[in-house]
Amino acid sequence: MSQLRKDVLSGRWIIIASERSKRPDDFRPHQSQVEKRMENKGFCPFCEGNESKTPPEVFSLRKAGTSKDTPGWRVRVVPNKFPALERGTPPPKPNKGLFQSMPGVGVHEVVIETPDHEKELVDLPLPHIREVLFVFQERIQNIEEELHYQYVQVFKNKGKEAGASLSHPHSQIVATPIVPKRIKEELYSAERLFTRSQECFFCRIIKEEGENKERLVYQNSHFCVIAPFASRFPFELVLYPLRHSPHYSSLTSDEFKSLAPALKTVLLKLKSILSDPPYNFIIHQSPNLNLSQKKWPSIENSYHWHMEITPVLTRVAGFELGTGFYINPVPPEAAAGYLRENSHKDRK
Amino acid sequence: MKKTKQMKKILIVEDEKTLCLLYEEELAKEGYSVTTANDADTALEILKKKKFDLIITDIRMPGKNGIDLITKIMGLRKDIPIIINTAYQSYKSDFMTWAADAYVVKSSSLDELKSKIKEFIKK
Amino acid sequence: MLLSIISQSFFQSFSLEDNLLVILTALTSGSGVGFNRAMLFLAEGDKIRGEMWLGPRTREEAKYIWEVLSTPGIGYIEIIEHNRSLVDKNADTLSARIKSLSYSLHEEPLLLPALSASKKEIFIVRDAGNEPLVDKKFLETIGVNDFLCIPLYARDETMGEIVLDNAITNAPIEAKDIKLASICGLIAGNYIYATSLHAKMVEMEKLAALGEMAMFITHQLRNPLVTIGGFTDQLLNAQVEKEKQKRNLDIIKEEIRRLEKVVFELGHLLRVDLKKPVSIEVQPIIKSVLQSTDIKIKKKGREVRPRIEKNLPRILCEPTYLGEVLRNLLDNAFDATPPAGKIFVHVYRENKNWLVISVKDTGLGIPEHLKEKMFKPFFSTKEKGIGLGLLFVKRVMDAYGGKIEVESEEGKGAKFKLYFKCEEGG
Repeated sequence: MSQLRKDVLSGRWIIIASERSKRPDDFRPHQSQVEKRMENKGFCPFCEGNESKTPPEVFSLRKAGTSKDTPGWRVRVVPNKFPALERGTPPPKPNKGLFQSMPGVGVHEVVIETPDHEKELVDLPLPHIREVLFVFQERIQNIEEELHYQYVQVFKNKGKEAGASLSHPHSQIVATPIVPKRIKEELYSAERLFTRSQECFFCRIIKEEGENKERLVYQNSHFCVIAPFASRFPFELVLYPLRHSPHYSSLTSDEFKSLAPALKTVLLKLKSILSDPPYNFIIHQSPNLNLSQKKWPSIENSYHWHMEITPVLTRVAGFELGTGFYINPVPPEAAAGYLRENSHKDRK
Repeated sequence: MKKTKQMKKILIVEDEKTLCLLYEEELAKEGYSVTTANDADTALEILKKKKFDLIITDIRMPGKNGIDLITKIMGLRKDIPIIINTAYQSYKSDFMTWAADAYVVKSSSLDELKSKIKEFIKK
Repeated sequence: MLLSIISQSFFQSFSLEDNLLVILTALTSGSGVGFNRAMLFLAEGDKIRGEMWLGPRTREEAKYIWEVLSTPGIGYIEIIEHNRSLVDKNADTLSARIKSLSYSLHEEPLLLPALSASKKEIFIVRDAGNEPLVDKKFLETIGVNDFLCIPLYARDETMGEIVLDNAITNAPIEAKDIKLASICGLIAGNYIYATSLHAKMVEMEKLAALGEMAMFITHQLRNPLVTIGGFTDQLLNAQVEKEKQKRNLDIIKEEIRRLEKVVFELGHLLRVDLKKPVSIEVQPIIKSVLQSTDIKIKKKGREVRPRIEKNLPRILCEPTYLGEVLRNLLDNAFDATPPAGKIFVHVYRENKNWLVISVKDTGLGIPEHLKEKMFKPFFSTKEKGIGLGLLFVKRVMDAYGGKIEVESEEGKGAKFKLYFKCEEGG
């Protein structure tokens, strides 16, 4: 039975077309492994030993006794070498009228997740993954100290089809002086839903999905991963912290200990049943809490940070019609089922 | 015997011949010795035989593009400074360009290119 | 079942008609579910116009249709095919009855059906005969007392309206029916909007996606700008010998000419669809083009051998474009042909429908893998080529209902055949 489903938060309508239900086997992507090996014959600016080719690092976790911009690091953060935007103080508010403009100001950093070109994030041992996730928090906090950065986005593109320009594992952090439109819409929506029911909308979802279990893919003491009711894309997933918190910076070290296996397990499942697909993940969080109070009065209560994880499956694409209207041939219940029953085999 | 100060050698990889002419003349005025190549393969051939203190390369060229070229060069010898000189802003989003030391977007004035040359040419 | 019809057959093609038919079919294809008849209006400017009306005309026909449709083995595709044939047939189908109907969305007093589309609200009408909000002429057409109006819209724009009734079974319209209809309305509204966006996208794809367009402009304009800027700077600076002055100015002039060409060709390309075709005789235009290019061609040692048949039909085209298209092909043939080579131009009527202008050169020919690429934007084998010439030719042929064919073997030259539609009765 096909169904029309509405994603309450965004207001989007999705058609889940189960008649054309696809099995994971239908999604075999391109040869990503081969790509990596071939590329290595050339040069990679992120690899250990090429630190002189990157701008000076702004942060790193490294072996004691090694100095900046030399080998010996486990995770390394560098600013974008050729930015289109420049870090600095923004100008005063843009002029009113037809020709509003704001010269590019922002932060763009690259988090190099490991010195090993051949590995992927998902292959790294749990303590290392924990470190990467911690580095995200570290950088977010650092950037948000400068009050004019209203919003920090952390995202990862893996694979050419997902938008990665090279295969050495990396994520990116972008901070802007304004809150991006899509996020704003999500924030407004969350605030409205909170006002109506006096309960955080996301907390409700987490509770219901936890009880219902049909779309639950993974759960541990601090996090859960579900396939959203109104998934736009096949095997789209969202990772939620069980404890209500609007901002990534609130994560405690205990929670990091749970976040790493949650992320790794889920990525391994995707890798295993979809044959190592390209994917994106992005952290959605509240704007800079140092600023939010005036603009978003209920944000502490109404918004809940989360991570959207989406494999990029080019062969059977979700259909976007330009109106935000999608057709998804894989019901999230089916996706969740496949992902749950697959016990990932640890590769490498 | 007093050793004459050697002229710095620059290799320019650019497919537009009028631009090559312009660069040759302008950079010669600054005291550099300029060699031009119109595509990546020619450039690689030249690099096998001659040494250079700086390479300036376009990205969009017939045959191999500039990014492949610099990846190849880096694979061989990492120590030559490279400046990307292109009409396009958009390649900045390709992190492979980091193999170069500078990214100059072509404009009607050569000032930026000249200043990057001064900054990065092998001392 | 209903939504599975939609999901299965929907979006198989981007034909607006097909997909709207799917929706109407979904609304009328069962005897227990949905409605007997569905009428579709589409918004055009500030009116809505009758577009399609689906449903049996009589009780007998209804019975027959529903029997057929409930036969095992009959799937949704067959249902839609059947409905399509109902809608297509010329003589007195339901659709024909509403094709001439149109209602303003703004003029007072606003009545049903226009009222629903205009306000974007669902209206359920019972006892239409006594309902003042119903347009009388419309009532005559629809011929029932109970019906349902579903507005179709997307974002804030009205796309059209669907009017549903149970004229055959006279079953009352219930809440569950209204809900079903409103969901279909939602899909249809969004769908119509998306199709219009898609059409725009296809247009833009013809000019090679916005990104490439921007890249093209960047590339074609930036390089000449650097050249002009650089050589001008030279002239402005120190003592420059006269020879160098002249050389620089020549280069600058050439680059400016190149920029002009880009701007001209681009503008040309964008304007092709706007010029209306007229009935023209090809002979005089071809002769004049050949004459004007003759000198240039002869000068460079090539020869043009024209062969224009007699009694050629008239074609529908824009006369200056015909000239340009031919000039374009001659230019290409000229560039491809070695000195002492020949260019054959043959103009003839192929059959009742087509007039052909063929330009054949004795050059190197075109390798197979380039045959497709040739017509894409910015493709050029010439050093100073911009790559818009063949694209322009293709656009003209597409715009006036013609086509272009290329025959070539590497080493054996190339023949470009332009097919123009003959004017009817010509």
